[in-house]
Amino acid sequence: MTASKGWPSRTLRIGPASFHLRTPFADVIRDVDSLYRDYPREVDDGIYDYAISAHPDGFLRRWINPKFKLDCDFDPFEMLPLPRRLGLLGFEMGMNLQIAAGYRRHIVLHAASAARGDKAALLIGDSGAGKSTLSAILSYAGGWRHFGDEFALLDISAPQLFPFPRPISLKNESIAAMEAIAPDDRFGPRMENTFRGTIRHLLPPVEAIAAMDAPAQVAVIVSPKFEPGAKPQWRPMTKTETYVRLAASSTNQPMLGEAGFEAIWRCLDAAPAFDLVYGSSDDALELFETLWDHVTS
Amino acid sequence: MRFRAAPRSAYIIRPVDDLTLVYHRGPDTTHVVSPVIVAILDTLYDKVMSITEIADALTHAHEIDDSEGSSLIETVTVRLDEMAKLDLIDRVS
Repeated sequence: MTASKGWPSRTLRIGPASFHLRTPFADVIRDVDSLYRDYPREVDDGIYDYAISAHPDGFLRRWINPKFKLDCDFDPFEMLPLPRRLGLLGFEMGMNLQIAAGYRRHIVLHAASAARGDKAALLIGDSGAGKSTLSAILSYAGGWRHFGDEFALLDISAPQLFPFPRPISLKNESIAAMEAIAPDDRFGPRMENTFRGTIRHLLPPVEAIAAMDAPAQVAVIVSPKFEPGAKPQWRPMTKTETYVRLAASSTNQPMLGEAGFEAIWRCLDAAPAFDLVYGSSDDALELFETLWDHVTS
Repeated sequence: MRFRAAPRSAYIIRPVDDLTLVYHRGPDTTHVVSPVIVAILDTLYDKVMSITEIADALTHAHEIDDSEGSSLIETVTVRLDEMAKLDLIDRVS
């Protein structure tokens, strides 16, 4: 742990981005250290990309009914104070915000991704569709290399994805489903009564973190949807539909102008896209791998 | 009312399925458009033309039956209005 203005802090590198987290709440930094124990804690040139501070919401809030507010490099909107017990979640939100609002080295897609060998699957879809759960299942039940469950980083000059393998954010029912599959020591603390219900982070397999600098070519684009009891099936998406969904899922493509347009086009041109509907975790993995074999064989 | 499109080089045209992606370099915007809009753009690149002139050019270029003249003008008028609202083309008074 390093000191910065007397507060505990931690620098983390996750794929191509690095973050400096700082707070007077030492237990929050200990939670960060535990959840991010497999990630590099220094950056090569000593210069991190994004600073995130979780500071007490007022002088007395450090001790009495402690609450914190986030102060980030990219702070597009005012965030409400959070209780100290959600400090780890606050840093997660801060890191998400920096990538969504400030990152420009790749096309940022609100999507999950995973790879097998040097080929990758891009999982797009609305929040709550099941991207995080499916990417956790792929990692721990299917042996896929986890690239990320929140953001996919698309190369600006080639149809390839770069890993950004943050801990997987599991919510509500998906927590128990993954606790039955993944080892106990890969889970972070259980956070109850958040704005999205219960949240528990799942640390990706060590191998995925160790390989986080190795990109993979986009081979398929999938929009997964979990519908309890649904018959597993897939449907090809048209290119137009895929373009619209990819563009809508990007946080920075319009800001990157023509380069952003061409990058999305290359991705569209390189990989077929499918809607995937399934009703259980077992169905999800089997259907996904059948589709993968169909596309890549 | 007349309309003007930028030179061809201001647009990147990429057909997908039955529609077309048009990336407009000036304002850095992307549009998913129908074949009629692509045909109008193709006619109007780097020119200033009236609705009637555009309809005539489309009639010749795409061998449209003359009996469809009035409905073609109606279609072109609606599409030109859409294109102007999207800043794909400019209105010239």
